[in-house]
Amino acid sequence: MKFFFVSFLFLILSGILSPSAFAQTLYFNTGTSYPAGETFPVTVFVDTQNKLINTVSGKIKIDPTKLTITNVSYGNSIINLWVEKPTINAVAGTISFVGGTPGGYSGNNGQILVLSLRGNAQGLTSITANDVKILLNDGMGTEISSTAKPATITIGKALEKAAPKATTPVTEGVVENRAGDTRPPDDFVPIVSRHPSVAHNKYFISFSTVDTDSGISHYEIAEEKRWVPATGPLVWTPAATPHILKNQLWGTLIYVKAYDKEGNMREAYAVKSFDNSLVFLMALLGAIIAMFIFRRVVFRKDKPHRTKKV
Amino acid sequence: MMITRGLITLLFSILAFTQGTFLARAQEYSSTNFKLEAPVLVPGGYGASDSFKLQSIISDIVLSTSTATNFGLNPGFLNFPFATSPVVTATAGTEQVALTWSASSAGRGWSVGGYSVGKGTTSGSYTYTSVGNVTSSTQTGLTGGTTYYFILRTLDAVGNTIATSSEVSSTPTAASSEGGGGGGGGGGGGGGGPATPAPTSKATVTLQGRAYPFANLTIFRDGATISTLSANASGNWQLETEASPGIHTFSVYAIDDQNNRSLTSSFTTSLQEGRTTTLSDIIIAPTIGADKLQVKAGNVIKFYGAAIPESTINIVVNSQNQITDKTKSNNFGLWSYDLDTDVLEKGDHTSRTQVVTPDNVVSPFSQSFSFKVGDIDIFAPRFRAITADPVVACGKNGDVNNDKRVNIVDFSILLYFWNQSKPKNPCVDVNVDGKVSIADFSIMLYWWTS
Repeated sequence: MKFFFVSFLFLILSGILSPSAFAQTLYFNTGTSYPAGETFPVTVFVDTQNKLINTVSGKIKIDPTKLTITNVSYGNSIINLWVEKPTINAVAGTISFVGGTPGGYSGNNGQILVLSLRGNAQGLTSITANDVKILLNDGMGTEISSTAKPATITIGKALEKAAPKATTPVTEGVVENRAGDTRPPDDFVPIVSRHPSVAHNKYFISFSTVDTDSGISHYEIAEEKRWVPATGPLVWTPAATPHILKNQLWGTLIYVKAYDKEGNMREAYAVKSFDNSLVFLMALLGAIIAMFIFRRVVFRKDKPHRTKKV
Repeated sequence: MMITRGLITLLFSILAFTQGTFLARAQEYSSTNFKLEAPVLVPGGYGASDSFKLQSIISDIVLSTSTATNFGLNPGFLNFPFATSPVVTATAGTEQVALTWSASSAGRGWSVGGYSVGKGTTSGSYTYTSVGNVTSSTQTGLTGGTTYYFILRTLDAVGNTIATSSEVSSTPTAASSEGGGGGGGGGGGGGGGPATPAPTSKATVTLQGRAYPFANLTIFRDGATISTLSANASGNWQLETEASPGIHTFSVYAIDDQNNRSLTSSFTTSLQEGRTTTLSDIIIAPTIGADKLQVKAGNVIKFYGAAIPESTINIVVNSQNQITDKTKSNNFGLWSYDLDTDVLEKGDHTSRTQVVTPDNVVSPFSQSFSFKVGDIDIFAPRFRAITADPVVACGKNGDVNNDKRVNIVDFSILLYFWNQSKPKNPCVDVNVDGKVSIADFSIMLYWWTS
């Protein structure tokens, strides 16, 4: 009797004190059942178990035969720097991401992103995450024991009402727009710089901002030469940080537009000065021209008058 | 006569024995493991002080670790538990206030078991309710237009208070108020009345706290600087700013007049449109330096730094046997502590500090300062090199372009070399593990200056 009691106590304590009980966890918040054809949200959270973390990465996995990912929103997230923005692979049924937050986060309900899913077929299905990595904000990049707590959902019979909206298949990286967001992304300040190791020491521009509603969709950039009359409208091109500038020598104004997923836009700009080599050339040219003019003027004044012999 | 004296002695001995005490005998005890010059009496209860609670005394003679098969013991005067104070965020709502707080961290015998929220309508007077081991609580059923004062206690596993936050105030709006929205907020007992509701898509945030006198503070939101300001002569600072509603992370660090930087304190909170959220009080951890990088065994090493004026500084030295001790900062916020390295073994050690304010709010720990105990003294350079070395070694902090900042430019360069092995710019491999990966990204985020 005593043996069984001790064994039982040991089993209970093992369950309570096992490493997984204290591991930092990615978990999902959603309902338990939805009718087929209905879109429902699933929020992905992180529980840091009172530790201060600053980086999270993982791959969320669904069964693509039972569920379809219709959208992913990461505007309202504790992550504000994405190394890899949440990217949908509709065929594999995965969303992978890598991101972090300067200064770190500690808490049990750190929102990472929100999925919109739609049930395709009746039955039990689950949402989980693989390759979860959570790193401490300790200055050493320490990776800590991490798990994912799956969510189980029952997809029921489709409701007998108007047929679900026909939607175009979601291709990788494309998401549907989410209505309701009318706020542009936050203010930001792009920075022009260069480094010998980046694109053979070419000038590049760095930028990043957040949108706490639908999330950042993409950026666009246009460059305008200074001291030169404009020959037409600005030419906007899609861009990602770091963006290598087109005009390396001439001074330019660089405009950066940040768009959220609802199309709201925030614009910022940075000034790129003339490259030193060009400044030197212009100064040399200017000096040569000045000297030429000076010589012309001076010699013309000092040229002796020839008297005519009578 | 002698028989009577003996009987009295015997009677007294029996009485003493039954009362759980033993006669102290004036003689020297010895063993092969220790020398006891006078016996130690074990008290029947526990001692207490304003700073810590002592639940029992087993030994307070030597600085060492006693071991047994059932427990480990770290006795000695240079040893006491600690817990950091939570930083509380209060967001006013309609007849309610949403509270969130940063988790306390505890050690050396204490562990966090839960929290208790103190609430009152008079500053300094609260009714406490235990909320469990969570980091948020919404106080409902409040009267709109009335300023409420909140304070948070950190509890240990048996319900004792081991840390306390500073007071934060907030004023919920009334359900029937016209226009809705808005809300007052304030900290440290100041408080404020309800703000006039205004149609706005922004949220107001008040950050306030304490650092070193005239410290240069940098505050950033979601990695981007929103303000640089200076603390006043007492180390106090405050910032009111606006942000879009949603989840945001606010971070603060300070630089003292020796150009030493504190660790970054960060707080993630969800802001509501038209509401005021107050984060209070953010106590910046002390800075720490030392006069030596290596100290000869047996010599003294002096630790020093800046902190909140006239406060207690807890110092922890990590070695085979952890040492904890206290000192005080002066009215200029400067502190110093001399450690006799007789108590340390040769090898690598680290030390760090935290500050306890006069009102018992405890900061997080500072950065760790690494030093060695060896055969000779090696003094720390007093002044930094002014001229730039053309061949710059990679810093270990993610400043990959060596511009003395860790910001979006370094992040961009990291992205440029992402997932590469042996990158052309070796500095992006911050942890020198041969590849550019999330570990390097994490280290960069830790040192972020924005």
